Amino acid sequence: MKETILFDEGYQWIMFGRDPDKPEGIIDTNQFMIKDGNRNVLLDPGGIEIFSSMLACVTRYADPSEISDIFASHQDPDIISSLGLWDRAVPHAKLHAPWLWEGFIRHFGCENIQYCGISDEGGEIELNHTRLQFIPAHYLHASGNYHVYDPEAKILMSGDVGAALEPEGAPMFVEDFDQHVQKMILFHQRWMPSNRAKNDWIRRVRKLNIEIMAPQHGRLFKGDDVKRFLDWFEALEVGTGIKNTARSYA
Amino acid sequence: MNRHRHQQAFFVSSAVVASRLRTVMQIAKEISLAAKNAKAIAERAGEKANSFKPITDFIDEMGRETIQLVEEINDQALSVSRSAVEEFRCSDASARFVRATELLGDNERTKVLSEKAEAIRKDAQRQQKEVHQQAMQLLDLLQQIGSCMRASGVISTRSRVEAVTAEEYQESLQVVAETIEKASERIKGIIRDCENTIHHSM
Ligand SMILES: [Fe+2]
Ligand SMILES: [Fe+2]
Repeated sequence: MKETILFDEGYQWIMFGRDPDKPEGIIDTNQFMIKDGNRNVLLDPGGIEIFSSMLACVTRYADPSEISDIFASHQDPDIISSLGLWDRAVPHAKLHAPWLWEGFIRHFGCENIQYCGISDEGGEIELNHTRLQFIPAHYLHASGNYHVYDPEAKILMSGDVGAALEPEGAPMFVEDFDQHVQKMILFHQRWMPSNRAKNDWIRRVRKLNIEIMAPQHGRLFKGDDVKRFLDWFEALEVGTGIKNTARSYA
Repeated sequence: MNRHRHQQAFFVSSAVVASRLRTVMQIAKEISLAAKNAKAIAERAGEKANSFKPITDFIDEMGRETIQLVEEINDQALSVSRSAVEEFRCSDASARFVRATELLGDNERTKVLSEKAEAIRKDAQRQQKEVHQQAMQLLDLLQQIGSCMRASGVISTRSRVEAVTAEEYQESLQVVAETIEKASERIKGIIRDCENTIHHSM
C-alpha cells in the first residue's frame, strides 16, 4: 500500500491507500494514521479485505500495543468492516464512532475494543501535541457521521465528502480542480441525501483553517482547492436518486 | 484456504441436519399418535389383545423418546453451527494476520505480528477441535435415534404377529403396526442421510 506523509512537525499524519493487494471489485479507500508518541490513532481503518495490508503498514510506524484509538466516521463496510480483526490486533484500543451506529457497528465484532459513542454535537480527544475535533457531518452521507479536524496540522479528514471515483493508481492530490469535478459529481449527487445538511456543513467548515482536506476515496485537496471544493459543493444539488423513481416499479 | 471451504461446509451441513430433523419430528409425532391409537384399540379388544398392550406402551415410549432426542439434536446442531462459524472467523483472521506478517517483511516488529498470528492460529486450532468434538456428539445423538427406530421397527413387526389373536381387531391393529413400521423406516432413512452429511463435512 502506498504511504504518504501529510504532516510532520512533532507528530505525523500518514495516509495509506492505493492498495495493490486488494481484490478486484472493491472501492479503493484512503486510510489515515496520526502518530503522536504513545498515542497512535487510526482514522477509518477500512474493510476486511485490506486489513492485512493496513496492519503491515501501521506496524511499520508503531507497535500494535501503541495503537490507542480508532475513529470510524460512519458505519459503512469500507470504513470499518475490519473491526473484528482490529479487535484481535489492538484489543486495548478505544473506538470513537457515532453513538447512533453502535448497535450496527458491533455486528462487525467488537468484543475487546471499547466503543466510545460520539454524541450528535461532536467531541474531541486530546493527544500529546494536538486535540482532534470530531466535526458533525450528519447525513453526509450517513445519518450519524463525523469528520476529524486537527487545528495544529490544519487537516480535515472529510470521510466521503470530497470523494471521487478514480481509476487505479491515481495521484494523491488534486492537480486540476476543474478536471477533477467530473469524478466527483455522481458520488456527491447520488450518495449525499440532503441539501440542507450539506449547506449547514459548508457553513461550519468555512470557519475552519484548512490546509488539506482529505476524503476517504480519491485525491486530497490542498490550499485553494479546499475553498474551490466548498464553493463547488455549495452550488451542487444532491439527493438526486429520487429523480429516477419516475421510472421505478411503484 | 482449503480448510476454509471444508469448515464452510460444516456450518452449512449442521443447518441442513437441523432442517431435516423437522421432518423426523413430524414422523415421530405420527408414531406417538399411532401408538395411542393402537392402545385404544387394544383397550377395546380387552383380553384378546393382552399380548399387544405392552408393545403399544413400548412404541409410545419410543415415539416420545425420539421427539426428545430430536430436540436435543436441534440444540446440538445449532452449537456445532455456531462453533463452526467461530472457527471459520478464527481461521480467516489467522490467515489475514499471517498475510500481514508477510507484507511487513523484514522489520524489527515482525516478531510482534508473527506472535499474534501464532496465537490466533492456536485459537483456530482449539476451535476446530471443539467443532469436531461437538460433531461427534451430534453423530452420537443421531445414532441413538437410529437405534430407537430399529427397535420400534422390530417391535412393530412382532406386534403384527401378536395382532393375529385379536380376532375382529386384528385388521385395525395390523394397520397401526404397519404405520409404525413404515414411519420408523422413513426416520431411519433420514437419520442415515444426516449422518452422511456430517461425515462428509468432517
Ligand atoms: Fe460511506
Ligand atoms: Fe466511503
